[in-house]
Amino acid sequence: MSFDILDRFGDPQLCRNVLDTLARELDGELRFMEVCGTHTVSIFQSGLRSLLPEGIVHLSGPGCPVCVTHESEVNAFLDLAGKDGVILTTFGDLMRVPGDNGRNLKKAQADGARVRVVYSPFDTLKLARENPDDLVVFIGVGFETTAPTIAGTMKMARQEGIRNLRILCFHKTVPTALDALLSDQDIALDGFILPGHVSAVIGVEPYRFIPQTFGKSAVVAGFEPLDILEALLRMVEWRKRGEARVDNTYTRIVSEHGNSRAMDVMYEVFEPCDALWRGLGLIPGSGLEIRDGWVEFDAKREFDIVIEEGPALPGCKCGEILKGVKRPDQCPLFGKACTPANPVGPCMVSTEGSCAAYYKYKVD
Amino acid sequence: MCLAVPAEVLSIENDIAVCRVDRGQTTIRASLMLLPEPPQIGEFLIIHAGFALNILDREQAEESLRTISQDANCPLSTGTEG
Repeated sequence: MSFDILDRFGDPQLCRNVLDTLARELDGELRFMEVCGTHTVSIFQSGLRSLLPEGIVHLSGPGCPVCVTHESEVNAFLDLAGKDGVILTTFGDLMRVPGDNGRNLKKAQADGARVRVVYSPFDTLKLARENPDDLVVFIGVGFETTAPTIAGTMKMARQEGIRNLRILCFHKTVPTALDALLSDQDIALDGFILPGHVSAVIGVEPYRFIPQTFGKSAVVAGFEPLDILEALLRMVEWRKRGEARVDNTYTRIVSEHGNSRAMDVMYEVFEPCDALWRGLGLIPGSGLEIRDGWVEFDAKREFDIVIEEGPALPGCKCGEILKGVKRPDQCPLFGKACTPANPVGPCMVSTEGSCAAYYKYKVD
Repeated sequence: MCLAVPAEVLSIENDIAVCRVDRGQTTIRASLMLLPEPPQIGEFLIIHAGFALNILDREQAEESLRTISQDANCPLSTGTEG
């Protein structure tokens, strides 16, 4: 085995041929949405967006975990930062997400709050061991790719008898969000490019409702240019034949039923709950919360944290951008009041956000 | 945040794999507790936040490339650039 096999998914000549086939086969307009932040970045970074035939309309959906973290959730973890005896840990993406009054974790850290960026939830175990008199609270955001890693960490903590680790659980699940998007009459879509690594965990089966209930197509795809092009080609061909289907072009990683072990660990620790999504509002059954049997890890219960819908950031169009109703450059703040250096909304903060990608790659 | 990277398994000890990322000398450690079955040395894992999520299936990768080249009506390239 070598890395060469992976390189071949970026073969320029094969990409050109698939692009030519796409242009030839396309009949009318195809509006597709990718629902993974890594796809967002890959589509811009590889130059695919500018190479796609004109009739293919690309929209970025709610696939960036930071972008869909609700304002109330952001305020909740900002309130927790700086509390006596608390060490807050997070993946780096959350450090500059603004809450109300311009607060963010980076500023809280500068003001003396103990906030630590970690690469892996493993690191929180080390912090907990080294600081037995403090509570180490990890902010759990992300989808089915990330949730099993947090669940695994909780299992390790219990096994080791670590008693000062807490999880502030804001995990969300992808299929329920897609159902909510498709149920919204304002959103005109032909199909989805489905997230590769969420699907590595959950498989393809949970997406079968997309053609069955809504008559739309969807393809699980990897992150290389040919992965994305092949997914588009399939959707174009199905549409030409008047079909709506779900398929998987990322078979080297994703199977029909996903990773049963990761799913078991995730649902041993978490159970479905209603969740607030930035821009999408309350979606029943779209979140994960800690089961009663694991209550000793639950920061929400320990600190009486309640997540409620509040006012959105004034002027920020992240919500409409996440639904594909508006492009980033149609937000009045884009590139003016809101830039990567001074982000107003989460879509500009995260490297996987569509506003940040638009800004970085200077899309016209 | 959901970015998961492919990495080659160099060694395994106590359910932890030491893996090489890309072609360089950088290695990362990954827990194997979320994998349904243990990997072999030399296999590729998809790793996210310190946990291996799946083993890369080389045969399926080859099959995907063949399918793409057929769909594009183009002979399969063996080039490695890109």
